[in-house]
Amino acid sequence: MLAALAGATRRKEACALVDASDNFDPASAAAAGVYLDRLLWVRCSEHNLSSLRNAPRRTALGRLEQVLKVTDLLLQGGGFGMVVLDLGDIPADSVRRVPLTSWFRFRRAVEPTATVLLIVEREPHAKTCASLVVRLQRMAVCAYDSAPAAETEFEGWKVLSRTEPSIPPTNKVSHANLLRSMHLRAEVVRSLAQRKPMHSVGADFELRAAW
Amino acid sequence: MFACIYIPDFPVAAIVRAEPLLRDRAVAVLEGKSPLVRVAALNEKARLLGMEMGMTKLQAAIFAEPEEKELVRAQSEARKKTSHIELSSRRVKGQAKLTAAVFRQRSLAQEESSHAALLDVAHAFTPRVEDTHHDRLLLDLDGLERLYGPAATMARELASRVSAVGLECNIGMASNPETAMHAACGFTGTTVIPAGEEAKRLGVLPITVLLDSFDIASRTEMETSATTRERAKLWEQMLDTLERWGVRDFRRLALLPEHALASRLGEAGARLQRLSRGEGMRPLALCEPLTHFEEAMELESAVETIESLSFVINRLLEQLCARLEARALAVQELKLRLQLERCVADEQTTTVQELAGAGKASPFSNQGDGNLYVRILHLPVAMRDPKVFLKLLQLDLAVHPPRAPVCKLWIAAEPGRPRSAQHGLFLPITPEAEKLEITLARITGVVGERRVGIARLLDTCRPDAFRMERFVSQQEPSSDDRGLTLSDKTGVPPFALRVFRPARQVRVQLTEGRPCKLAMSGWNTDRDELRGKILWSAGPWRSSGDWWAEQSTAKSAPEEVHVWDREEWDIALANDDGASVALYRIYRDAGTGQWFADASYD
Repeated sequence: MLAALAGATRRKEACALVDASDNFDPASAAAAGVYLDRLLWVRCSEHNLSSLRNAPRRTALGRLEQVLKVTDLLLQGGGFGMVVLDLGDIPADSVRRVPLTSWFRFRRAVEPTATVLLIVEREPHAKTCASLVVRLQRMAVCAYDSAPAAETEFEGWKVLSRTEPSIPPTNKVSHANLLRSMHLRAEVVRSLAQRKPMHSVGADFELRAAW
Repeated sequence: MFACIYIPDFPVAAIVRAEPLLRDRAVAVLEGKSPLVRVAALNEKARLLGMEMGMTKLQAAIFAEPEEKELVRAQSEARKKTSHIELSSRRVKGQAKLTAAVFRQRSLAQEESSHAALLDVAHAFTPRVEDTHHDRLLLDLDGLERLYGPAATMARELASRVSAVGLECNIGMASNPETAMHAACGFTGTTVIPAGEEAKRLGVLPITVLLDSFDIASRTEMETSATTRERAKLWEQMLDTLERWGVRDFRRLALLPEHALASRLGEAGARLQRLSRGEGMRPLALCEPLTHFEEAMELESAVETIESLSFVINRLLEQLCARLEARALAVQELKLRLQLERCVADEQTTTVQELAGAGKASPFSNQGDGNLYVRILHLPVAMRDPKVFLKLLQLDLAVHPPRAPVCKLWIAAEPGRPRSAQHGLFLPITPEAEKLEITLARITGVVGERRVGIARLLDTCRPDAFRMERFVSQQEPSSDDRGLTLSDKTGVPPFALRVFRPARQVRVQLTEGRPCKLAMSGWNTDRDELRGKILWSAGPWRSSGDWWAEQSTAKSAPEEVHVWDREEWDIALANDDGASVALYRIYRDAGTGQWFADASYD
């Protein structure tokens, strides 16, 4: 998500992020290359009574309702190069309740424009309304560990412990441990631009720690 | 060449400007406190009904529902009393439609706004304007023929511009200012008097026009009410004298012998005679263009709903934008003030004195002092569309409605230079400024204030330190002077953190000083993702700061300073069901000893 936003803002496009769970970290985004002054950040929350104190209680919307309403407003307003919906922390069964007509409406709104609507979620819910569905899977995490423990496997997810040459192997210092990198695999699940190939199309890439 | 813009029955015109539907009705403006309420101004239709200036409200009330026969009697009497003679007019003055009269209370605020609108039109036409009186202006049009055309065209253009701001006027043009003023006050519509024909054209005007303009010219700013009464008495005596002599129009006064007139009526009489011949050349006392743009309206009855208020606000916004457009300006900031019918306590009211209006107004944008409710809209770019302003004010009032009915309102605009944007084929798409403002206002209504905008990182080591600022559509892309980021340097994108706001309190079990088990604390223990065995941990990294700054309070904004002292750990957590492993950042607050889950690595 941050890489996509970094690319769009680098092209000097105005972007919008609808943050359903208010999880966005501006510092991480700036390190990833996102131009924050070109990114409109909408922070949804469960209860907005502190800001809607003059309005009736019944008007306070749940997160998902806020996300859908705000997305609708952004797409109708237009002018954004990319609109990102971050539903990563919303439970899948809640997002499943979003009617398909909403996704169709969003698709209809962005189709004639140059706007990209990017949805980050745990499961693909837009179904046929999506032009491209990519599954991202974390394959491994690399960390420096002062105690050269054996590789730890857990349900197909590996944490590789490697020693830092400058740290003596007998020096069990917990603060010498460091997260180093993360290996991810991206796989195209569905694409309207081309027919599904015989074998899966994917790519492996790496994320590094900022330190 | 000089021109005079004259607004007949100015108090009525100010009311009609705010309520255009009254334009075809008989309108009487009342002034004074009960029981001394009297008719202060009338329009022509009300005069035809038989109403007169100075009538009490009770006397005027009979004209509210006139009978048919009374209608005819009033009409015939009104014809005898009228003294206006039309020679050159741009509209035919036929039989006025006689309807029931409408009464309105006099509004000085609306008259002030109308006068300001008139000045704006005049200053947009020429920089040499004299603010003669609240209902008339004098303009020096010397040298403007090349720009606007001949005198008749200029007069028509001026009249149409005045009409655009909601006022109907008479225009008089002549070679000297006094003649122009007499022509505007005496004749309906636009009148152009060529040089040399002043005496001939002015001859038919009644003497009251001359005395009225002479009275205005001789007023001074410092005169007292006693002086005003004395002067009024003097003019009354002079009028009586002239009427006894049979002098009822300009021509008869001009024919009187000069020396005899001067010996009877003094210097004033001699001056009056010169003016009646169309002689006179005085310099204009020029005034500066106004820099304050405000429209006001007093409501006959208090308005409770925002929908009803929107109609009034729309009218005022259109008038305001028309004035700004006449001066080639746009709106940078809009201030809406509502006078409420009764004092209302809000979150900032703490004492009875404040409720009574004796306290100071709040220094914040949304200030109020009891029965005055203020909303201020700061616009990122200068705009001029009244529809956009109306929508923004409606959205703002929907979120922050006034708590009492509104009986008076003002809208003031801070002027700014209109923006100019050059579009290009290859420029990246950006939202339009006006549409963006409305969209942001709607989004603010959904998610709340301070939750929409851009994040500005603060220059501090405090975790999650940023400030929300306004998002502005950049028509011209800003330069990329940010410097190299981590992804630029390494070519590999960094981890991203997904921050928990607020941080989630957890219970951590330690083994040999390292966390080994994690569970949510408090009542919300059904979040499975924050419970389980810690497979791997890195830390602690200690950080602290802002202990040197003042303590923040509970009412402080989240981005304000507060002390922090924490011990951070990165952990790999396997959930209890063994279904997944996730990376988190947790910390222990050194002050309270409590553990919190701060963020997850994504």
